[in-house]
Amino acid sequence: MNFQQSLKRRLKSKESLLFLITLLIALAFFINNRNFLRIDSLQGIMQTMSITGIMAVGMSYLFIGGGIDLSMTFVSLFSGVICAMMIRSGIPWGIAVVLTLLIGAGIGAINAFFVTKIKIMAFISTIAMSMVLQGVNLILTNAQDIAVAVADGHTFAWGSRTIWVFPVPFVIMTLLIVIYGVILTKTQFGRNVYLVGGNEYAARLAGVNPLKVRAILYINAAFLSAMAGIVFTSRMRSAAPSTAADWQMNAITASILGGVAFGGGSGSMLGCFIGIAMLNIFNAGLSSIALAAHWTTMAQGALLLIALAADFVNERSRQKALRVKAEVPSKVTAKEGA
Amino acid sequence: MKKILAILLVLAMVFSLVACANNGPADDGSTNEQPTANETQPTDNNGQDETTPPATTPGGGTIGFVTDDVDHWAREELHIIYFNFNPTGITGQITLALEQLSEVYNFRLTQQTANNDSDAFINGLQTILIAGDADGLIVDITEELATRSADILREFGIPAVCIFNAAVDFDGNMVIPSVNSDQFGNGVTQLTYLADHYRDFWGDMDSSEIALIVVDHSLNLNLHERYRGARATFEDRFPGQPVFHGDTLATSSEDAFSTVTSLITANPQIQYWFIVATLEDLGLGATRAVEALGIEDRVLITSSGTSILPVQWDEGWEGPWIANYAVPAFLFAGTALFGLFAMIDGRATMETLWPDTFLPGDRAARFTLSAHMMTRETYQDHIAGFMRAFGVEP
Repeated sequence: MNFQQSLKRRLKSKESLLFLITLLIALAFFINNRNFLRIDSLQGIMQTMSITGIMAVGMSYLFIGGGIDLSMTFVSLFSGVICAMMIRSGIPWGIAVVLTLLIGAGIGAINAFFVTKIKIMAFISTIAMSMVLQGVNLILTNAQDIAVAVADGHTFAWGSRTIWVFPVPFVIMTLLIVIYGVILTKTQFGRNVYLVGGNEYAARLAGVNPLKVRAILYINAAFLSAMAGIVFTSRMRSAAPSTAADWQMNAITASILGGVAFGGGSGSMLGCFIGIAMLNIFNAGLSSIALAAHWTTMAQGALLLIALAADFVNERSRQKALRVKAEVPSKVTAKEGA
Repeated sequence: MKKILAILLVLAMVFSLVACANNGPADDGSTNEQPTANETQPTDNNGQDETTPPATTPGGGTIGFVTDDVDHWAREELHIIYFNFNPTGITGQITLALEQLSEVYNFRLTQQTANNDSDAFINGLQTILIAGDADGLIVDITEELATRSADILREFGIPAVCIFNAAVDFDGNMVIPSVNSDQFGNGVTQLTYLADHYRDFWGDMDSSEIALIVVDHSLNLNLHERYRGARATFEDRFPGQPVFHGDTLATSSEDAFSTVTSLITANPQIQYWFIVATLEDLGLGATRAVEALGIEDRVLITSSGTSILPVQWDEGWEGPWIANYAVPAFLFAGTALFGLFAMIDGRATMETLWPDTFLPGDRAARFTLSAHMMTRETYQDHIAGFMRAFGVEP
């Protein structure tokens, strides 16, 4: 395939369409207010998208592999609380972070055990895990926030710092997207994820162990949730035992907006990134015009519907084109045969 | 076999009917008894001054207040259930306060939560009442649950007091005795504090360059009242100056961070900002947003609560979040508790409790708490003062 064909294919891809929609949204808000694309405004968007973004990476992997984890918000909150408690008890924050990530992975292993070994439906068992963690959080904290790294210059407050113009949480999220993107497209494991999500039976025939792949995905999702919780705690310098915000729902929305198939088997990290960006640019734009919450909720739903519809139309025209291509040679062969 | 089962079922039904009848309001003296003469004594608690907890101001021996002249250790231990709709920082503080108060006022506390689930709350309430071992309930519910909860409570005749929100029906009439705070006044007080003190921080600047952001979650009507109070006061004190309604999708620090960042960056021409956050989580998010933007020296933030900001101050933090409208947990818990004691003892009913503030149309008493702003300098004394007022040593 030459460069021109490759470029043409890229331009016709889901990601290009989503990118175009995201640009149009940003442009619309920019026309309304010329300050919308100022650097400090963009930094705010980058900060805000990082928590959802890190979780969306884990959620997208799970979707592509045919799974779902509805405990991610509470794994994040629990991890934030644990990390804050360890730091407050005098453990150096670096060690606290590593231990918290391991605990997060451990929770993922429990999720994986229930889903892959006991065969409980994923959304049921992960909701149950979410309730367990919610309870544990409340017991540990008595529903009180835990302040951490509040003193000026505390090194754990890296979550509110920047590298050049990029907030540290955004840098972490972007690195994760790149690393997970490479794993998904360039490694055997990534191909196995697609295979397991697309057709589990075919995956078995191809010698792939779907249970093992899914178990890794659940562990990974909880690991990334723990990371999101640590980033949040570092940013806010406070660990919250509960939140009114539904991070995992935002992560699910961002993944679907980004073209990751809910039913498994397709999707990309680039699409996931664009989905996160689209959602957060849209929300920031609505906030900047001081729209009432109920309108924002409605607009978010409408955006999701429009994105899904656009994706559906795009996918259908692509399928149609593929069918035409497939039919033409067969007709030619039939004529030749006659 | 079927006949035996049928007989057993009939017996069970008869037994249930008898049991229900025994729990009915007609047999319960606590809510239907006529008030005694003492209950009509005037009180001046509801308009407490800024330095004294309301329950300490009456002349003494007032039913439903901390000064109620009752020997709590002469009676049997009561069982009080605190059933909250959603566990939050303030409900955790209420639980702690009630636990401490239980050691002073001879009651056993059980705490339960509905985890933000309306159906679970109604089912849980019925389960608690059917179990029948509660002497009284402290609940915190949203308005949409008030009428249904009131019906259930009336059916079982167990005294209850609602805290935080006013348990009103669709016509705005109180249906469960409630200890709530003045939501509109909350916003007014926060803004008044900012308007009175901004020169202490900004010196001699041009006050026409100040704009206001109220970080609100309008889907919660109580929080929205705070927004209205703050806005009205700002428009009165700084007429014609910009006001921005930062209406968040959820009451989380993350949403507040995003909303405040968007509003401030979209309006770089504004030099000075007042931010009134209707809830502490929103205050935390607003503060981190301001810090991330690096404009701490031209923003002043206030919020409402005693949960998050005191912890930040305890850790030595200092920044643009300068004060909170503070109704300490002890004030909510203690006021509700003394109202409950009076009803359990049968010395007041839900209608005769706190008679000074009973409004026409109400079917239950109301007690509206008001409070004042606490600052970094005053917060420890402020919280400790309320604990002492209710007999608990900090």
